[in-house]
Amino acid sequence: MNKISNLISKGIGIVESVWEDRDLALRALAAVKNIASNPNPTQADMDAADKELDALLDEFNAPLPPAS
Amino acid sequence: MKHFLILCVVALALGGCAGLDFSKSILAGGASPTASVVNPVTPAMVYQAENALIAATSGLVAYRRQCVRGSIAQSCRAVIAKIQPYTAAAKTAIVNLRTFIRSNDQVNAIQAFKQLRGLVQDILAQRSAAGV
Repeated sequence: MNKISNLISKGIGIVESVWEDRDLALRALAAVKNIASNPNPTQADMDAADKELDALLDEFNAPLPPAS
Repeated sequence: MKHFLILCVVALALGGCAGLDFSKSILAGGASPTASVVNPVTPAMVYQAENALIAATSGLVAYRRQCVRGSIAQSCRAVIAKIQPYTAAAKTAIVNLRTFIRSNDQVNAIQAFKQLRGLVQDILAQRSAAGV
């Protein structure tokens, strides 16, 4: 029973990580698309880019948790 | 007498030129036809730079998440530590750039924009060197 529960939680973890990676890949693609196709961004576009970039940089710049 | 008149005309012409700025392009209000033109940094340029950085940082965040989960070799920690100074500097540069653009401080905005562009290139070079 314990083994099954571990397998399920591992499976959920893999699905979550694939989903997160997919989300990040889509965000990178959207950013490249914005460079190519949006020469006149609106204030809302610029605010959204500010917010997204800040969140990404803050996450990457945070100190790494100790290795397990 | 004729020579004296020509001399006066040349002197007057040169005197009139004293107030002109030959270090600035004629396209930017100066007098030099050959000086380079430094374009002002526009909000649209900042938007493009931010999107370039979003594209570069998205991959780094995915790499970091995999590293924290332990699903890739733990040498990733050293790679992240090596890239972080560049991304931290990029954060400072982008915050400064936004401030300069808002206050229309073009002199500092151009410097911050150049710095940011250099940092994006550095980050991409570090990513490429580490195979991220």
